[in-house]
Amino acid sequence: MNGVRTQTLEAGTEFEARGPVVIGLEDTVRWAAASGDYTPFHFDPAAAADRGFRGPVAHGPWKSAVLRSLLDEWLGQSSTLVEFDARYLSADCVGDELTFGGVVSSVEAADDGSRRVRCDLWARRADGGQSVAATAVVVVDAQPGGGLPVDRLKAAVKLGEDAGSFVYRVDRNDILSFVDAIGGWSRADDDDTIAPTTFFAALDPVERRDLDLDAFLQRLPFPMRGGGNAFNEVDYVRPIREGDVITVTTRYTDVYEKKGSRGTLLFRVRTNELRDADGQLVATTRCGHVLTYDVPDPAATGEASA
Amino acid sequence: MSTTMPPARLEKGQELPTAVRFTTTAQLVRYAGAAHDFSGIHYDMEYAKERGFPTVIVHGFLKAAFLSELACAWGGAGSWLKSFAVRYEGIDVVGTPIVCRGRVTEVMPGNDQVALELWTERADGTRTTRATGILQLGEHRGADDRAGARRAGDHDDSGNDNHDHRETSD
Repeated sequence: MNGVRTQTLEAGTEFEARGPVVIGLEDTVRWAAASGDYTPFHFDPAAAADRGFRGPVAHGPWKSAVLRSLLDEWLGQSSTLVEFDARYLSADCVGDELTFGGVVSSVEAADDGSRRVRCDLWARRADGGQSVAATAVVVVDAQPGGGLPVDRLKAAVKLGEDAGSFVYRVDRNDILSFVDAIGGWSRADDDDTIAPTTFFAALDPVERRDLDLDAFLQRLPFPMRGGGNAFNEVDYVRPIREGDVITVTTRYTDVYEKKGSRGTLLFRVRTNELRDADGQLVATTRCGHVLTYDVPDPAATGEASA
Repeated sequence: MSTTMPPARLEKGQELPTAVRFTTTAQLVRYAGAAHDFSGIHYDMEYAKERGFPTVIVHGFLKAAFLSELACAWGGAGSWLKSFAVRYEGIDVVGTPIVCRGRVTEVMPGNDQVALELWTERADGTRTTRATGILQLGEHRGADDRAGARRAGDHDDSGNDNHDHRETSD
């Protein structure tokens, strides 16, 4: 397979053309069988001649399928086709030659760390005429070989802006099962059950994965070691109690990487604002989370052997 | 762990009673459910090993809960932590003893709040979690404490003279 290495993708990158490929009757029969399109002029020379064609005509979607399978080769099996649009510009008959190719028209970094690759694809006839003009958008995994995608992470978590608000109703049972899980004891205030200090953890949209803007961090091409919460802080205006309907608004305040003895540490710091049904502030929290990646340092390879 | 009695005395440097916690995988699963924290490093041994841990590890937040409960148990009925900040410095694997300790770092004027430092230790004394907090003592604490202070004053022969701190509104 002579695919383009995905890390070199940029606008203007040309894919290695395939062809010329001679359209065979077997191709049209197989496509008819696979697609259920048994319109006779695709495989019956007499039916094709009746319609004025030189021979059985290749199905348009077959030509698209060839282009899509080539995209897999060009961009890798892990890429995902999200948009495909084709126009069929000529009737190509069994025995005709087609060449398939394409070019990257743009590459954008998506919020989740992947890249959206927009391509113009084509199939050309032996006489140079265009048979198919197609556009495709393919999502390709995060760029391998580089460092941690800190800038993309910042964009993904909307650093400095409200990243999301979630509403949680705190029922008595939520508090009691939390108390049970921490081996604590239940407290009451005017007959209402009061939540333990760290109950704010149970109302954290990120811990709950209700807010999951950076799931791609789990799929980076670097081994992960260790990792977890680095710190948690809370300031309460009042305790959380049963019956509270709490709106939690999360904002990421800091994203940075740091070299550590066991790898590259990636920190994400977020604050949550917890407000009750009346809009009154109940608590603010600040949480820092760290992931540790084994990121090869290209500059270090020379030193390592010294 | 349960308590309703406020501490009989309040003074800087005073140590909280030590609590030793042992975790089980069942507790970690229970905590994962109650806190909606389903990171596999707390219950999936193979995944934890892949991530470089010797086995499944205790949620940092659970250790934080051990410490905040220690503080509130000591503070007695109605006490709650107005602020609480915890830093995780080392892991604790499931099943090993987690020694929870704390001490008073400041008694606030008015005697109804104390600043605490709290920490967890492994059996070998290594600190794995460090926390600070401001503990609001229960609403009835002022009266109770004055009574407690008098009691302590009456019977305390340790010779410390921190009692004046607490004799605020008499």
